[in-house]
Amino acid sequence: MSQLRTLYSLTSSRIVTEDFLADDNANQDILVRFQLEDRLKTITVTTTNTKTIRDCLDAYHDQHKQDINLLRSVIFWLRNNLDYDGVYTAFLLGCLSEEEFEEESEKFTVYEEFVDPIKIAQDIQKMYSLIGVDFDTSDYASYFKCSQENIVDGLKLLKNNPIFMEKLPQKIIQEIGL
Amino acid sequence: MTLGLGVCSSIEGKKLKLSTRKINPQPSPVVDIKSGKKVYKFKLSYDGGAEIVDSLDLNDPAVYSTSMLDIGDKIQGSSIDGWTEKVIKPNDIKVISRTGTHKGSEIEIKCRFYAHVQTEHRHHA
Repeated sequence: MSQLRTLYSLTSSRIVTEDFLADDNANQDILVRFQLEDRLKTITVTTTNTKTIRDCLDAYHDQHKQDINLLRSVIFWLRNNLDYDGVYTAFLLGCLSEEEFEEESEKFTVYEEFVDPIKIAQDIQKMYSLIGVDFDTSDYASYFKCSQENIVDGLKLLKNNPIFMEKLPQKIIQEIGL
Repeated sequence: MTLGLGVCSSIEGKKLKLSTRKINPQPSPVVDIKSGKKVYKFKLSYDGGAEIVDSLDLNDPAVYSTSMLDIGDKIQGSSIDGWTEKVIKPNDIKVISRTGTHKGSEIEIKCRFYAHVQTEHRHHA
């Protein structure tokens, strides 16, 4: 809230000073904050432009909306894996025939696609900062619906973080000069 | 016979033997971007191993040029993952004694497969 600026320090009075109403606050959309200090019987009046506060809140909201969307996608992916695993377990236990399993598994089948390594790196880093869990390369490949090679290309961009470098083969670590 | 232990060491063939103490939950099947075929993913941890029991036919090239391809070639690691073109069925899985105290699973499946070391064995100081 560095945008807040203290305008007036008023001693206890029923009168609002004239300059507060007439000064540069005229015709402006502002938020006013009053701080009472009993000992000095003083009121500090602080104002800020409403737009400044609204812009801060909007940026905060946008940032968290992206985070929530990422977390939702992780939960959806895990839920999907659990559902498929349930189908596969039923098959292993003999509750589903092979034909029934094939039919059910078709609903879960995904097509691998190329994903931009920059997006992979950004999302993996964000995921780690939000959840505190690092998945392995096959998990990331499953989440992004891409190949593990594609994931390795993304992880290469996170060379400042040793947690992700541990997942890379020695040859690639040498290639990127670590 | 070659043994691959490093991250990303891989094998490919048409008959596979897997051994492990833990079969992880199965990720959804995928249509592989390279082969264009539907494959069933698997993931093993707690000391996994994979071995080529039968090699690819000459007219069936490997998906990855770095894969080991000869009968008896093996990979081992803390975790192993890969795919098979057929789903692993109940009859493909056997429970075996791996050590005096631990049991494990052995899986043998006859179909095209790919397996690779995801995490190396940890070396304790």
